Amino acid sequence: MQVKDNENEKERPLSSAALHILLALAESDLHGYGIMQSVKRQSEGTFKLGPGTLYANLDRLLASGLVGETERKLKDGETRREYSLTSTGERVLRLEVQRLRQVVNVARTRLGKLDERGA
Amino acid sequence: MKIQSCLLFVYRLMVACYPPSFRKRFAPEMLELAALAEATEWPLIFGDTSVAIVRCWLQGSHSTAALPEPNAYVPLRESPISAFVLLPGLVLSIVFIAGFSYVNYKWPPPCPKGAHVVIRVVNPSRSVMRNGESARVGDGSSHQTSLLK
Repeated sequence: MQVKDNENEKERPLSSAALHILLALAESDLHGYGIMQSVKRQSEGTFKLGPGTLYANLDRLLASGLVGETERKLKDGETRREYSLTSTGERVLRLEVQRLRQVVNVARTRLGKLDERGA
Repeated sequence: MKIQSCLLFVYRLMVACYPPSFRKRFAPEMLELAALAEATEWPLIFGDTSVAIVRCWLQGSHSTAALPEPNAYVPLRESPISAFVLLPGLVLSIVFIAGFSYVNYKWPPPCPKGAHVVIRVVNPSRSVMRNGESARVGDGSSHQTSLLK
């Protein structure tokens, strides 16, 4: 388990696409199209995720254990594959958000100093 | 509707270019997702998928054997990226680049036969235009203006 955790540590920092996918899955379990729509919504249309990038990232996230998949039966008998955030994925997402928060704090401080100089 | 089915057919061919393990796992979902796409989303879908296919061949699909570590130093002899894996990626890259170049070269389509572009330069202050004749301007530079009846 420790080995796997260490492997997941190497996933950080996450790419923009992976971060958006994990954020979308933090809301609820989703299928591919649902993830695309959720990413579009949460980024207010600024980040457009194509199917190639989506499934390449899902492939990687599934292999590293950050995302899990389940098959769900629909009413018409068809099955749909849904993706979910695993506990490891949640932990990695929290670490990534914490890292981004630190970056934002540094940026805010330095930009504040620039504003003071300009004033 | 017909355009949509043509685009889907082309997309199906593109998806067939993915490594077998990846294709087996994700192709049905990708095609399902493409079928729901709007007309304005197709350029993104084609561009994104072209790049993703090449990247997938170069990096390998995680659906089967995963690479030891992402971005890790791998000794050349133990490298999982063999020439056999690189070659299809190279061929695909060349095919896509050649395809895009050809489309770019051919678009917009050439003018149909019989259509000619006539550019007529008219400078009423200097040129003397007579019907059916050519006029010469006497300021050193000669301009020949053909008049169209």
